[in-house]
Amino acid sequence: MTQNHQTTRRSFLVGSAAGAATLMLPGRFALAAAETGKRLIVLNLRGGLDGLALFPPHGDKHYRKQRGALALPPASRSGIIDLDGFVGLHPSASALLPFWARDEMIVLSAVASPYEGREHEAGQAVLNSGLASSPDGPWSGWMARAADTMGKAETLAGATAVPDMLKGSANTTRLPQDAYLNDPGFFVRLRTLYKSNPAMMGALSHIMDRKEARHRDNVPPAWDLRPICHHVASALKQDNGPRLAAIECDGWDMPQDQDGVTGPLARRFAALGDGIATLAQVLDRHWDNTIVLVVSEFGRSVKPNDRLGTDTGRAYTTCMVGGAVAGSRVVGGWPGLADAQLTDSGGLAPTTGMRAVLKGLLADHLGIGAKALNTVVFPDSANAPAISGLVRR
Amino acid sequence: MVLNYPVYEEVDIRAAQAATRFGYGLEPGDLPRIRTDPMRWLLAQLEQTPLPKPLAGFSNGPTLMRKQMEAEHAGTLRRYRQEALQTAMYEAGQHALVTLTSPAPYRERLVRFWKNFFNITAVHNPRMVPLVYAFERDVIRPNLTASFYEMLMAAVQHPAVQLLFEDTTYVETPSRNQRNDADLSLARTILGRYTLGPEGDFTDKDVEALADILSGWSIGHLDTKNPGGFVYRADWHRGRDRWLLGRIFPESGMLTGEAAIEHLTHKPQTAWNIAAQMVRYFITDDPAPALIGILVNAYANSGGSLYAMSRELATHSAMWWGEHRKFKTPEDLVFSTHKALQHRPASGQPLVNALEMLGQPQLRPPDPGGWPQAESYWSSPALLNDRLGWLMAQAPFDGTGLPPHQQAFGALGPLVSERSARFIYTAPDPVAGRALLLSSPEFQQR
Repeated sequence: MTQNHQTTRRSFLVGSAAGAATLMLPGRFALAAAETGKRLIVLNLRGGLDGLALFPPHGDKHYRKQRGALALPPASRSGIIDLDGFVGLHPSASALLPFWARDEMIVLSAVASPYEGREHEAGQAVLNSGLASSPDGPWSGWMARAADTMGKAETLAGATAVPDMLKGSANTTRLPQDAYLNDPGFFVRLRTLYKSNPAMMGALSHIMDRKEARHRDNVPPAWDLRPICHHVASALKQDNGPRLAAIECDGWDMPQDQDGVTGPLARRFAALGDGIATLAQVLDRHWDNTIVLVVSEFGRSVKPNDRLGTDTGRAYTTCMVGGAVAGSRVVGGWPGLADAQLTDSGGLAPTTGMRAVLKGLLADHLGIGAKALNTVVFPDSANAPAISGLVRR
Repeated sequence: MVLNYPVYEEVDIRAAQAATRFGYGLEPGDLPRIRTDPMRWLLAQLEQTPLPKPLAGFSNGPTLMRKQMEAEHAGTLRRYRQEALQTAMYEAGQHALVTLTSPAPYRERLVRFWKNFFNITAVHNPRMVPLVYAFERDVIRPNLTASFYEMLMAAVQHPAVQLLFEDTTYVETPSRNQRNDADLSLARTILGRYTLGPEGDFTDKDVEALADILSGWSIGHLDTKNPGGFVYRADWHRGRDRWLLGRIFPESGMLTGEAAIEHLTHKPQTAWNIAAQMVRYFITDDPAPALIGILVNAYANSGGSLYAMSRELATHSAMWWGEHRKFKTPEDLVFSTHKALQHRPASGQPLVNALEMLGQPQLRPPDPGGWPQAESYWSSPALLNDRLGWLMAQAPFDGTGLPPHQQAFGALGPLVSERSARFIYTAPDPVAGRALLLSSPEFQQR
């Protein structure tokens, strides 16, 4: 008897990791949230996502030449996992393939927020505020405002501190301190243990110098996605728990030595796939009502730079995954990779606005009205009409 | 409160070594069990066992090869490849789960050694995807403690090996009575990797001779009686007496091939090739020739018995010297971390994903040599950085309920230093304590 590889969500063997810390939720909740069984999780990859690496457009005749050393080998050479004959999946993100195969994925060809610059902080501010341009003065996160329109629905921060897209929220639960490592003195302690080991000392100093140490801006690295997603999914499963969650992780900026089919970006793609797979596994039957959207402040340069990394760019290819996604397909026009089709700074030209995507999700998946979306949640977004058809009816 | 470091005896050190050097690490509670007789614990694991139950439902190589051929013929390649990859990922997960939960971790480590030795990889060829794990089930596990000749014969006749260099679509059997590149590449692989090894003494003429001796050894095409399986085609056999490695092999059809392969297993360089790789895999990156010689002798004195080699590896005193240290590969790390935390994932996917995160994707070992075993490869700054990040992220997944310092003693026993134990003990919270244990120098080695 052959094992059927087409494992359903249910046979993803339910069962949380033994001993995962339990989440302490406050007793109060908003009825508006409890009534909807729909869940929305937004996963923010900070640093600028190389969507061309995650979803390589191998069908574009300029792909191989423009991506140069970063071009992935074709499917016939065990590189790109072909999805639909034009776009593919990075082999290290193979944990996402079952979602495509089960019609639970939409690939968004070339998405961008209104931000056109190259600064990470400013880009994150525009992304998370939901505004048409850089906020001047204090701002709130779009997800916080969206929750407000849902009767101040409870939201969940996938972190021990509140992510920016929930800034200003009245009703956000954070993860407990022991959800993941939160010890500021950790690396100092670890260095002492390695005093007699020069190779490891070198590596540790390297890590600390590059400030990839935890707690930089309180944003965890991609490796923490599994414990975080475990907690988030456990909370979202609850009958009267939150329905909107914001998860962030850091380390996606790759100005050098990005590498292609193996290397640091490939390994982070594996962490991303593992995190999303964890959400699906723990949410179990609630996955049917869930959408996970992957966002970033901007994309990256189409061509590699001279340090075999990428510079920051503009639009990026990304995805939404979930049982409630009307997949599997590609949404949004393809802007092309020829020089004339790129932005001035060598990035992918946008064909879809992130706010248009978010408006479509909030309207069709969570039932937020158009007026609220256009005035409160995403002010000044007339040029970004909601995209429909993303959500399964 | 002062930490009381336990009093350990010599036998505890040997028990910890047995588990970490020859197995995949200790779980809390293992040490008292193994210390009664560490060597016997290892030797008992060499008993041949049936295929573990979680693997019993998977198809074998010929069946999977046939299905692939049918899909290629039907032209449904994209969908087939997506399905094959998902199936292979599921297989990888089940195989990883078997390794993690096996009561015979020494056996499991030997299985992975031989996997790496033959290195059936899909890194450049997607047609290998369905066969990577089938090869392990069909060739390696059943012959783990048989003779090397039996394992090698099973390997050469497996569709995975026959497919390594073949480009055909396997629909109709072509007519073939001329040597082609695939024949030569396979012969070169048998000589240069599976037997004499990369430093072996053989010439291009030997490669040609072996290719001709093995002509007719093939995979059945779709139009044959054994599609996907081994077929000897007498009409392809370029039958003549052949000189191979200074010896004449009289022509006798398929028997010539068997005789040639058997002859290769008797060559001292074959013994050295296997023994050197084994010592590098298990004991040290930089073995003295005398150390390798111990396993060479075991091979030679037993007529090429893999049981004898594995037994000698586990019992010879030189293999137990405390100074030998290996840096953990991602496989070592993933399995030993889950054991240390007694974290039993319900599916194998977290293990497979972790290996991808740490740079050892299970379906794509590098070609031709397989996974490097040396510390210099796995301790590059980029890999170390990501390894530490992953280790720290495992700290919340505790399944033991023990305070971290007790976990340290459970996972490392006498191998944890007093200093590390003290730091783990005084960490500000249990997650930090466990993260220190997993990131400690002692936990990176075996």
